[in-house]
Amino acid sequence: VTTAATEPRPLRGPVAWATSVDHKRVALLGAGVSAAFFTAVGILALVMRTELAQPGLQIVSEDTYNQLFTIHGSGMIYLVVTPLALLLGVYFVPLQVGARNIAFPRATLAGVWLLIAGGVLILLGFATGQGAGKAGWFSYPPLSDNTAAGTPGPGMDMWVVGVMLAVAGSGVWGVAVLWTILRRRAAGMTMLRLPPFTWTMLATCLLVVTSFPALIVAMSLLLADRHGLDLSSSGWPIDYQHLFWFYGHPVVYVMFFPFVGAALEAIAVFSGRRLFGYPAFVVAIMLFAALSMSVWAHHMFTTGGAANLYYAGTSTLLAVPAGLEYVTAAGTLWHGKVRFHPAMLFALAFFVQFLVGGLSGIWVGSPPLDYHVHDTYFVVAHFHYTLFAGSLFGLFAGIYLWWPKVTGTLLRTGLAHVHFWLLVVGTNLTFFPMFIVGHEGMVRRIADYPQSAGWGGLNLLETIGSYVIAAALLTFAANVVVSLTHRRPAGDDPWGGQALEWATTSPPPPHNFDRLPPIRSFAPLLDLRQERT
Amino acid sequence: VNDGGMRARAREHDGALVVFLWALVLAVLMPALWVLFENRLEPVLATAGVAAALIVSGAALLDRGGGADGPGWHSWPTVAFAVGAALMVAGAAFGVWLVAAGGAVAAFGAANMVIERRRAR
Repeated sequence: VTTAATEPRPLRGPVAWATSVDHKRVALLGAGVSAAFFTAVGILALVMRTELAQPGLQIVSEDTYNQLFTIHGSGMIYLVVTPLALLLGVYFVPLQVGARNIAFPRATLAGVWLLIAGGVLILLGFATGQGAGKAGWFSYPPLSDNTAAGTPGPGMDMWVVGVMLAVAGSGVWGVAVLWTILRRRAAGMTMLRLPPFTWTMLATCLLVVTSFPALIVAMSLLLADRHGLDLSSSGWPIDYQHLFWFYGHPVVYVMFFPFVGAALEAIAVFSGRRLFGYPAFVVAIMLFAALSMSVWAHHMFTTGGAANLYYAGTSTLLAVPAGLEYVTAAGTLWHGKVRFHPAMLFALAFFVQFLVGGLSGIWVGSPPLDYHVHDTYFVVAHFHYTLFAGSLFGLFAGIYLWWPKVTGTLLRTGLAHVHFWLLVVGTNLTFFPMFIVGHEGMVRRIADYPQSAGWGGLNLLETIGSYVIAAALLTFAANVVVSLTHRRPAGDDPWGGQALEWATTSPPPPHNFDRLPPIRSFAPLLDLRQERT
Repeated sequence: VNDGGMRARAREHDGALVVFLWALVLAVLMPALWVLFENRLEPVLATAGVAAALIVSGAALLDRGGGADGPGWHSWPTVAFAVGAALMVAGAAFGVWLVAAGGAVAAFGAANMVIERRRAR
């Protein structure tokens, strides 16, 4: 066993953080930026829910409301959840494959600065005379055109450019993580010894590489269209939708797969067992990735510009690999020595709550049913059950699992339980009634609704739920502050981890490992423990 | 041994091969399914996307390994380059002056990145 070469001593202070090419620092810098954006665009959601608590309130104007839902949606997708999903990989994939650093570390750092530039531009739109972008997170033309009937003004231009930059930054991370998996694995780390989380990141990065360029093309054309290039006679609105959703659907899985991986790692660790059905899991995640590239125009059923039969077929087929992932999770729990640590609770809730989003996805994947609920709150409920109830719970499973590794400290368990239960209650209170009002015909993106519709009660519940969510997130923030100011040392492997990240110190040194254990399976540390006993 | 993945990079191509095959299967399967369901071949998008995956995995397959990636643990020229590039892109909407300013910052960053790499070697 040998040790790594001597490394230059890392700098300290903000400049060191801003310029670091250590993948762990880059990931933490990016996560901090995303957390700041999350706070900003999360507050916008609270304003929207307050507006909709009862009919006729009109706290904000309709024009402002359009800006709020646009920046909330696009902020969460482009600036928060996608970056956080990929940054989880930027931090942990090099550790899990036994690499010294990520591939293309400088490009990875540049990605964070592209995210910062993109996010600042998008939010600065509020400071312009005509306001921020207000054509929705997908900004279809002609609504996003630079005409009086569309969305004129520099705020919309800033939105377009900001989206391009943020997505380019995420795209760079996707290539870097993919390349790390393909070409930076330590000796002995064959593909079928990759930990589950790394497999999900591989599938994620394939989607990034394949689909993200389409959005940059779409935004470039949109910008050109807004500044003189006349695309109106070429079927542009439908072509734009194809381009957009070629990115827009795979990105849903970019915001899902890494959290499946994090939740499965948590379930395996806190069940004391290795992942059940690993080969089937690998096949399922790759099948999932392939199919998710083939479903994009199910968002366009009602346009008449998509091949509905094809997309309904591929969309419904997604249930097969999704079901296999659930079997993997359930099989790992079966006969396991289950510990209900907060990471495990969040992982279980992730799978349960995502199921609601997934099953309602089968509903909207069927053209006749989708025609009924298209552009209603049913769809809002569906994608919040996948992206909020799904992704966010998976993210917290990962945070509670890996926090000791990243910081060397333990989060407070009591506060974590309060955080968990508030989030479960808040999430379901906010998003489940949306299925009902959506089914009854309440359309999305409206700043008000008629008293006579009888939706006031359910909307009030949703608004109360959104404030419960805010309380849950404040509880988590308090936990972070308490844990970092009153530190309880975690040790290198407090949970009995299975993958290589637990074989180094907490937090890991810049070069990641002084030594690596033998790698004979996807759970080398579990192998070692089992050999000792 | 923590070889930083160098041996894996030089000898193991199985990962890149898996991805390459995945993209190859998609390249055949997606158009085939399309024709089967709709009797027409609609978007070029799928082909373009799969081509991107083929290019990345193909490049990884051909990668014969090499030296260390980075110049050390910090790189301010990278930040300058990224910010400059962002300004240049923003210039597409807000005027040539911003493209020029961004280009200058990006060129300054890129020049220093080259110096940084030379020093590292």
